[in-house]
Amino acid sequence: MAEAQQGDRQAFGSIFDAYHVSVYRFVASRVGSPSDAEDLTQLVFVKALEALPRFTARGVPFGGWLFRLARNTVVDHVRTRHEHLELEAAEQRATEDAGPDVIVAVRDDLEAVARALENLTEDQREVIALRFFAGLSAKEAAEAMGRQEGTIRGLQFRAIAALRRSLGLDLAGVGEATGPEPLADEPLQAAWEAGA
Amino acid sequence: MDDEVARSLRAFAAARLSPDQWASTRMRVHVIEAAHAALERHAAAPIPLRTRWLQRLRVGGFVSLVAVLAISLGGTAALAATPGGALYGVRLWLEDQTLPASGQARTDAQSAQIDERVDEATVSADESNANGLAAALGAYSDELDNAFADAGRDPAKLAHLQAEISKHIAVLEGLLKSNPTAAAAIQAAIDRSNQMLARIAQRLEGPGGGNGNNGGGGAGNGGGGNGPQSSPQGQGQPGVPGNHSTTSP
Repeated sequence: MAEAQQGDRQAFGSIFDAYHVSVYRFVASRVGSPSDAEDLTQLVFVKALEALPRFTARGVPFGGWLFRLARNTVVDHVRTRHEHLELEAAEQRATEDAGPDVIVAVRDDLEAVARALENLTEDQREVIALRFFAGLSAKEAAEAMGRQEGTIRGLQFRAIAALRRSLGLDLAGVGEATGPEPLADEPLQAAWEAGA
Repeated sequence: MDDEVARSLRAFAAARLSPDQWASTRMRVHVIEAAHAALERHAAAPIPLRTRWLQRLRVGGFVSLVAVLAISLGGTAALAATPGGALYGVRLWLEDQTLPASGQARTDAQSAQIDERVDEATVSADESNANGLAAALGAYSDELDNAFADAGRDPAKLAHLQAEISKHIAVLEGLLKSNPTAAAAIQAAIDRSNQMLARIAQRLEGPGGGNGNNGGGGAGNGGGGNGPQSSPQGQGQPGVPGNHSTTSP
């Protein structure tokens, strides 16, 4: 971090490598269009580059700081373009390896998740994007949204409950929804990815 | 943890919200270019420049002489330090002298230095300054040799240099298309870059390549008049500051 703050391009490249997927996911979940998501993700990192010398750790997690930049960038974009913060179907991946039945089933599941997300409030959707899509901690998400950590947990609790209802899942266990696990590939995830 | 919902959300993110490899590459290139431009802006800012001059003053008596020259020549000194100018060689020599002694800082400074030569070549070409273009490209070739020598057998440094040179070749090829009148000088720099890529590949492949202290100019690919005249540290002799730009007038 210190090296990146002093203008070390390689160090900044490492920061990009570590965070760009998370930032892209957050941005993509907010703007829908993959090309906009790509442009805005670039913009977030360019802004971060310019602001990095002024970043001081003093209790502020870097992830929270970076995603606050990302959030502001998305807000500016939406305000400028008068777009709705809607989740649209993004580019879909190749489906060569999966059979037609599996593809249809997985696609239906993804559509169901997309519809369920649309039913959330703006704040709930943002918390879900930061916590589950970008993989931020509650503290980082709180920093990014400029809210208290407890508020984030409350929003997440209600968002998970709403998602369960929309997805037709059993409501038992909602109270245990404490946060996402680190972003990691799983067999199910891989299957979804292949079929999406 | 609400595993079922969490798993669904993660799967959704992986399938619908993740950048593909090409998008990641495009974004990375754009961001690193922006970082490079920011660094150049920072380097060109007045206060750091003054600081750099102070650093240079510590180098020794020769630097003092240049300072006196610069003061006595006034505004023309800055002009003379541009590619093809009378003090360009002095400037390059000073830049070499003030490079960090070792480590990543030296590698990065050398990369920035080589980038600057390519930028100078581009500007000279835009201004139809054939002498400047030749001087900048000559210096570019020499600095490649220095960087190659410094990289030794460090695979990370060699790979970094390889990537940098590939980028430069792309820029030079663009320059070649838009400047047919300076084709010979530009093509020579491209050839030199390709030769350097081959030498790096050879060194990366195994012990058959030269050793890390062979300051360039290996057998069969020395590049004739643009061959390195400097030590592995990349500096000429004080008082012979023009060694970088062998093609300059």
